[in-house]
Amino acid sequence: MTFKINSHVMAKEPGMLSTTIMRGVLLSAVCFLLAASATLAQETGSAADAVAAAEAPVAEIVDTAMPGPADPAVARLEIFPSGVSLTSAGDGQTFVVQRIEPNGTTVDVTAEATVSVADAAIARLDAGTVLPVTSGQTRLVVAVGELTAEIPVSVTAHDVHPPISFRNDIMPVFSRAGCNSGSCHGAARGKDGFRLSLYGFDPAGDFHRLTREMPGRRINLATPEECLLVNKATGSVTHTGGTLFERDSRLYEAMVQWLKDGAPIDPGEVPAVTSIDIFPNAAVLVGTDATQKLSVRAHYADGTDRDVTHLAYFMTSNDNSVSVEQSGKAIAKNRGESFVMARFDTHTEGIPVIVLPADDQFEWPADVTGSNYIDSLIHTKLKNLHIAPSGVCSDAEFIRRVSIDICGVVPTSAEVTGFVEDPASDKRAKLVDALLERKEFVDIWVMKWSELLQIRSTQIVSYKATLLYYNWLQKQIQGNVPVDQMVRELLSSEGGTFTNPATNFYEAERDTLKLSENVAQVFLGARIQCAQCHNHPFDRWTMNDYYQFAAFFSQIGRKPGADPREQVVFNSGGGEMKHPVTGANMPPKFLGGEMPDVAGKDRRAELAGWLASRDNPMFARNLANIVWAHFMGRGIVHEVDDVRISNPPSNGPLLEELGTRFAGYGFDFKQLVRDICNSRVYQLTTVTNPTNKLDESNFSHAALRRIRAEVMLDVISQITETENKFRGLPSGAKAVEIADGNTSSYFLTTFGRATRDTVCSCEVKMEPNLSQALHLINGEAVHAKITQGNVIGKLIDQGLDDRAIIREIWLRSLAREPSETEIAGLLATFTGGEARKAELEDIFWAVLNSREFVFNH
Amino acid sequence: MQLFSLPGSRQVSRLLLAFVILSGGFVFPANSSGSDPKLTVITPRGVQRGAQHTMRFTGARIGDAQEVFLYQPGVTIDEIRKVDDNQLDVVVTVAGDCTIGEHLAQLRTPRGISDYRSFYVGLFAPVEEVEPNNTQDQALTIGMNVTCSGVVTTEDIDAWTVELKQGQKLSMEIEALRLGFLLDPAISVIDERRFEVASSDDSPLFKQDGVISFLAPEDGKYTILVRDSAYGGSGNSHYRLHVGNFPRPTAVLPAGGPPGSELDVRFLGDPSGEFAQKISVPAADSRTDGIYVQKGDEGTTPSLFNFRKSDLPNYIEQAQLVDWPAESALPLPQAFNGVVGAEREEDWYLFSAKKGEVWEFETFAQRLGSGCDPVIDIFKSDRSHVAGNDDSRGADAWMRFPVPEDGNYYLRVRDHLSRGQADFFYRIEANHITPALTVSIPRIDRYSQTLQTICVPAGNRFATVMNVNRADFGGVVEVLADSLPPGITMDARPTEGNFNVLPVVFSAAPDAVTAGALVNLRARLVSEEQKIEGRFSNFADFVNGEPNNAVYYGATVDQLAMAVTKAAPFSIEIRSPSAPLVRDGSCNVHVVLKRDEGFTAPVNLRFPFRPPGVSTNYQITIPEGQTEIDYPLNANGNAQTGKWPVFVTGFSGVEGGNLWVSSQMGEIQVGEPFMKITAGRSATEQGKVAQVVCDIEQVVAFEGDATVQLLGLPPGTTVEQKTVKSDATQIVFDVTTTAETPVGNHKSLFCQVTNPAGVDSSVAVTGKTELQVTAPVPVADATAAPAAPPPPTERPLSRLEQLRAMSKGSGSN
Repeated sequence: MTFKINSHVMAKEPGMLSTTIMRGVLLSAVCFLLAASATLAQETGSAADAVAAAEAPVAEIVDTAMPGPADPAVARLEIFPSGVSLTSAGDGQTFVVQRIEPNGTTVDVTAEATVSVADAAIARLDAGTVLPVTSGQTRLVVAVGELTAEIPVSVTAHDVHPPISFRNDIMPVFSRAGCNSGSCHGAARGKDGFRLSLYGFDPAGDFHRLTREMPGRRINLATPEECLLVNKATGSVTHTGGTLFERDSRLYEAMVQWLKDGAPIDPGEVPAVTSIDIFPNAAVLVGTDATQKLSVRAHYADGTDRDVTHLAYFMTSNDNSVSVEQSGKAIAKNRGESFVMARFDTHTEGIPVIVLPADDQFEWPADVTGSNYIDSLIHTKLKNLHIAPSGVCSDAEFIRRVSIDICGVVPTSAEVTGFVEDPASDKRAKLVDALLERKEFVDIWVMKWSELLQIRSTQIVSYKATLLYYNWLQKQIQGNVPVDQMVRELLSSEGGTFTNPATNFYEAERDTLKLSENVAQVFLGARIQCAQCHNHPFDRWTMNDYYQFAAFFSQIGRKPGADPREQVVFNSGGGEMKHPVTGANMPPKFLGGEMPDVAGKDRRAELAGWLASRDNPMFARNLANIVWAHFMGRGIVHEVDDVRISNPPSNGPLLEELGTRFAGYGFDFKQLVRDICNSRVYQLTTVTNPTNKLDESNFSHAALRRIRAEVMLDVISQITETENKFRGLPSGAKAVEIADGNTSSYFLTTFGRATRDTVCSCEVKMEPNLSQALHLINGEAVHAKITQGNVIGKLIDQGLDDRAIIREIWLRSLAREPSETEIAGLLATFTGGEARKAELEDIFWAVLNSREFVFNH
Repeated sequence: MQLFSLPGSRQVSRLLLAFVILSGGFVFPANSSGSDPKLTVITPRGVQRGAQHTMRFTGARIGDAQEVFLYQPGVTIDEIRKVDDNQLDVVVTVAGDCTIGEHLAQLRTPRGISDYRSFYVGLFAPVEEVEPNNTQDQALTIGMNVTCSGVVTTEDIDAWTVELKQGQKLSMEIEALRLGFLLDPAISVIDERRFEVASSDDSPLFKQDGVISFLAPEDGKYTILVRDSAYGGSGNSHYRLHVGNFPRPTAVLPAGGPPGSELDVRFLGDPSGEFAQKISVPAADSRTDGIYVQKGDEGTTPSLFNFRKSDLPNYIEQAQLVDWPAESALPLPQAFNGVVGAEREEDWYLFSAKKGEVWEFETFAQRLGSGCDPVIDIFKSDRSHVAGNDDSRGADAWMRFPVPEDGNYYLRVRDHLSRGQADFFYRIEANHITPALTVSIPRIDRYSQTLQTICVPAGNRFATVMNVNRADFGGVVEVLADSLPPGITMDARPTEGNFNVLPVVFSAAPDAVTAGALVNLRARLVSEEQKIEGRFSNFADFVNGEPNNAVYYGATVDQLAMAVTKAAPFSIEIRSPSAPLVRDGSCNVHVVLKRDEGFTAPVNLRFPFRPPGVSTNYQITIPEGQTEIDYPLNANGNAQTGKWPVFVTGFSGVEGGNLWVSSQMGEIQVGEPFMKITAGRSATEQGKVAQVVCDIEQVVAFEGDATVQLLGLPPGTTVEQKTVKSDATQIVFDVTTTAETPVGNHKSLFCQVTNPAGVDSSVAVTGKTELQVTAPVPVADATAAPAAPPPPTERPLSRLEQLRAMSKGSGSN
């Protein structure tokens, strides 16, 4: 590998021949030495494991008892749901019985439980379902071994047989059987000549197509059991989709009953589903193939509920750990965690299911104690997962990590030695405080907000407007304007794009629908795009939600400003958002919130008022998650702008707490950053232990993160004492200070700088790749900067010897002392004399090409 | 590629050589006196009044300039000195009472007239920047009441320092974009600790050019920083920064008054507070609309304050009166003057009007330098809304109000964004509708002044079309010139009715000497009852930029530059066609080029004035050495009939620039076609003959034979042309098809009639029709009875009749 790179360099730059041969050797030498130094233990395979075993304070492994049959005195029994309410003759309710062991693991004992109804005159049991007999109250009593539990059962209107409802009984059949999915009849043009609305967003349209389109073909009221609709679904005739349900299934029964009733449309309003529950509310399964029965209950607007387990569609977020059958059975597979979900109507709900190995021998390490609420919440989760966190990183690692994270700089060699030698116990907290007061902290967050707000010049937004917008943002963050206030100002901004640069927010994206999608994605972390055309399949957003949210932006007026490049944005006071299916004007409604009175008001201001208020926990949580992700390399919800029910936070209580605290701090970033950086969780080492080796999402060890593009360039410039020059900015401006997303350089593009083309967090590419490595090796960035900055020349002029210069290179680039092995290894390659400077520069170059440098660890 | 990898001096010399070869070829003309002179910039960009200055005029082909045209009084030319072909030094004396602000200058050379460009006349002594002056430490210290001039190159920052006592006023105005080059300046003032004390990027008063005026918070040195607001800039990005303790109000009340009068006004927005002043409103015929701002010991503001010259009575907002007593309603016409002083403020006025009147409400705010974006609304006295406007004149409101009934009406003014500020002044003029008229030369080049002047070579002609821009009247308009340069005559035809374009041909006597002048060109409605007159008007873009080359800044002149230039080596004549150009027809205008001996270059011809419905090629070329060409004209079916004046212009490269001449004013007749032909559709089999029957309707009688051709036929067909006399009613074309004739319905057939009269032929297109060609029917069964022969006819059958006959025949089977 090394020699291949060398030959490439030689071919490309013949003038560098002697240097590059030298460099090739050096690169491999330095990389080897650096690897051996174990800072990048996780990355470096077996050597790393050895080091980890030797150095990391791994939890002492104690031979604990397997989670087997638990002590009945401590284990408890739980029945889900906590009560049964049967409201018609056809009603029924399934239930789940779970035994919770003292160690927190759970066992599904529904099948082996002895179940009875206290008063058989009120309700009866049939195949695990509670059925009504006559109106009244009774109890469902469950016994497993010596454990017992009971729940109340209420029966009303036992003699009422409600008719089959198209909306509530037949539409769910299409969803459950998958008829209206995108790959089947839910496709935009339908399938095989028959179209249903995707995931059932248009029941009226579906009714029309079933009963009125091609009359007599799809349904036949004379012979309901033999009409095409039923025959296709049951596979009695050729059906591309195959057999979807059997003739003895409840889906079949419902459909035929509806046809027998004359295939009616629901008379008047049908009570809508308001929410669904999935039972049990959590499970910790032990061993492969352990199962957990699931039950789903829907609540309706009229106050009734209904067991819809047979109509719900089940999903899992991680089928490597937990798979789920459509009958409602979760099956444990490999160790890990999954979110098991059920979808019914437009609602999706899920429960966390943890799978532990059957031979798990885990004990929480005694020496791990938390320093703040972040630690306790993370530790709680880790305990549940039987994962021991890694040890705490060294001072040298910490100062480099926290300097890059908070300020986008690396510490100077003096700062490193000063910090490492400082005996104070609170030096880390003090360092965090000091970094937070630096201007570079502002720059980092201005850059991050610039990405979220898409600050870039376009055909519509001139470079001047871009600069003014950026300066406005900088002023907000520099002045520590609380984020909620800033967002309110942004969303309700009015005026010229030059005179009030915040209005550029409405110029960066002019399409009303895209604009509202962006607002949801940036400020709430929700991707609502799907709901533009159909109800969101994996989240709760319906088309109504989408267009009612977009209605907040339907009255934006624009007109030319005094300058040809300027636009005046204002509230035009007129304009409605229409639902594309019904054509109805959609009144504005907060996403997942209230419907405000907007008459005569600026709708955007109303939205801003709600969005950035304490009434909207999503806002604070989302921002807290963005901040968390910046420091931890991964959001509690991952990706940070993909909050949805089917992508739950890896630690919900922590996210909630961070959001609450952030709001409590008056949306002051600094305080939140302090909490994060002072936590033990942030200060963990990257070195893993056997229990957390596979953990990617629970913050049991520090993540190894490639330094992002802008910071990388700035850090290289800082270390090599050189300046950058970017278009439209004074010389010496840092890469993090680039105002315009369109301004870039080969270096920045290679390292994945966001072009701010979209609001998506995926714009920033953090993955290391070959072209980056090749650019650092062959490109101008490192070589030219070393020559230009002449750092080695200056060090030589100071009269430093080789050892001292190597130490300086190590300290300023890697923030640590070189090891004796490293020094000795390098000195052995020296020829000295006239080549001394070139050789030292080659070492400098090789260090800047090492993985230890490129990563924040 | 190899060139760039060559090391050392050899590479440089090669590059230089290449540059010299390339640029010598086409950038700089070999001959020193060129036609088509260009003026790019005048430096310094401004001068102080009451002194003599030498100004450098830079451009192309201007070395032999003989005269400088100036559009404003107050500057006299003392001397013109050639520096080289592209540069001149001009010594000027600027009178002590010369109007301050922008002045326009233009050069006349023996071959032509350049673009006009601006320079500024100011009050203060100039100070030049000395680089490097990019930081606070390098700043040049200046005194008060000076004009600093400099250039902002890319990402450049210029620093100037002044020393102030606490409470001392520091006022600044920058002229940058207004100097005619793209520099959008941002100025800021920092104190000794580098804290920003004041800044201005754009300003309502001067758009992109900023204004600062503040009282120093403490004793000390203050540094003024000048840069481009987006870190742009170039070698041409000049600026003039006026720095002093002069008054700098940002609003005036009232903002208009009778021209030539003395008027008491209040100036608002100055940091030392508002002040009153008696001002002189410029006279009606003055070329300036601005007024001087002076205040006791603080002196004079270095720019004029925009002001409306208007005879309307002024009403000045008294207090925030919403409910006016009915009897205090103001009569119209009236000018309402006020300030939207606070957020959400609305100013209300009550006026009376009578049913049937139509009043024009025009608001002046942003156009005068106010930050207010006015919205006006009219309500009945019961507060029901009857009319309103926001932005019909840029950001200023304008509307016509037809009064629905006798009574009192409320006029409401507010800012569009409900903002308010102490200097958000406005003026609303409620006036009768006044017809307006100007005359201008249409641009042939979108962003330049090309062909916006009249340069007539001695003994030759030059022509242009002129646009009549009229508002609220109709009728014939004529164009007159007060006094033309000696030797020039003008042939300007009045407009045809309400037509807004007219051709004008200028001729210069063969013995006319090269001389020129700015001419007052007037337009006038030809009417005994109504007197409507207007002037020439020409707008030049000085600064264009993003987006889409939008105009950032330009200047308007009201005189037309005209000159007799050196004789041209060619002239052109046209011969008006003897036959009329008929609707749906075409004809040629014959052009004859007279070349001086030795002049063989190709000459490009254009046909700028086209009667309505007549079209032609944008440009045709008489090739090198040739002297004649036909300019083809086409008329559509709706071309306006009648006699129309026409001319042809021609240009050729002479002495490095383009030299333009024109033909004499000729005439063409646009008329009805002689005949209309209705051609029947026809059908046949491949290899057979189809008859196309054409019915002729004679429109204009003619003598002799007219030729009719059937054109647009598919390949593989032949047909003979026919001749018809004036009394013909029908002709039949026999179209012979072959096996190669494509099967299908050919819809492109038409008849072309060539008129019989005169030497000039014109042709008309008529009789569009279709020909259906089918494959041969397979040979019929021999046993089948033969189809009945078609009944004998006296006339050819139409396609429909043939089909009917065929169907009858088959029916009998």
